[in-house]
Amino acid sequence: MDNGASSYRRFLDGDESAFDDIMKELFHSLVFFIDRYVHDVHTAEDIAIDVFSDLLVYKNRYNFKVTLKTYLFMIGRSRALDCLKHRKAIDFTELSEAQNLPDDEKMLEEIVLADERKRIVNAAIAKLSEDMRMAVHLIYFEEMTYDEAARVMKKNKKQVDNLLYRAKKELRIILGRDGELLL
Amino acid sequence: MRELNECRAEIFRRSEKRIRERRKNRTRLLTICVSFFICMTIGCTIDFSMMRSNGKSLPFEYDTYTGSTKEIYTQIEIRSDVNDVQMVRKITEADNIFAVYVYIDQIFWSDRSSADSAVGGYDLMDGCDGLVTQGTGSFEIFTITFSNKEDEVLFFTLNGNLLKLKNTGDIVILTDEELSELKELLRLDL
Repeated sequence: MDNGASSYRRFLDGDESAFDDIMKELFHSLVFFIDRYVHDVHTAEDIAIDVFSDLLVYKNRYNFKVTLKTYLFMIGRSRALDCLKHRKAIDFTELSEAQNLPDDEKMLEEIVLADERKRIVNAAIAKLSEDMRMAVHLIYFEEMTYDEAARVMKKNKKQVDNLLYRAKKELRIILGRDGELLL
Repeated sequence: MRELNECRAEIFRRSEKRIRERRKNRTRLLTICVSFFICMTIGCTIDFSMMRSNGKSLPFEYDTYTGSTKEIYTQIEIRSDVNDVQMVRKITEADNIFAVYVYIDQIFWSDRSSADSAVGGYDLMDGCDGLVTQGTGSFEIFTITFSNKEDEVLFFTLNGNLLKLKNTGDIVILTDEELSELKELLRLDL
């Protein structure tokens, strides 16, 4: 499994349907990942659309040295951080927040996390710090390697390893004894 | 949340918009660069031509294609007054005219102060070729005239070490070597 790289190569060769394959494979997980930063599904979706449109605008920017998933998540992360910075400057309240509509988040969770075990962990990791949350997300939910996760988070492998170790420790406290079995 | 195909349509719509914008920006940048380049070229040309005509260069008709002025002036006339005796000498050989022209042109091009109120111990005044000698003894004054068949002329006066282009009023002080070389070219030392 090359996480979309071969599909992207096909797309560059002129196969339009390959882009649909990439979308199916990576779009929702990218939205889910960005949502961890922005805490708003609609904004996350908007950013994910921008990230994918980057693929079309700058076709030769992706150099196949990392997996397409890693590449998209890297762009997604930096876009999400930009959005947060911008949001901080404007300081507005999200419409979804104001209307208290968590349905979309639930729906996204259902799409991305089919496994019940993962859903329980997902609920628990909300209480972790941002870095730990991202490390757990990338390694456990997206099943990335330590190298790939480190690239996305702009940290080194050792730092990711430490974050995961500390996250596991905290999750054991949060989930209690039942949670031990989940990790 | 939007459906996947809706997101796909949005992605293509946005990417097309961004590609259009990129193309527009590139065209705008190119237009700015080209216009800047044209302005620079025109500016340099004007500046260069002004530099040539503001006295640092002689207002000769210079053939930029052949790089010569050989054909433009056909005669050099040199007049001098020594003890109320007028002396007139003419140079009509094209090679000699050209040599004199090139030499004077070089002198005027070289970087030296000119048209100062007092140059090298000389006071400059209008009405007397701009020159009055003070305490350095009197010099033989030569009037050098470049002319052609169309009656286009250039007047110079040579007073001691001072060479003045009367058409523009520019003055240069010649070194002794330059003076003797110029006199040699004008055959004044004969």
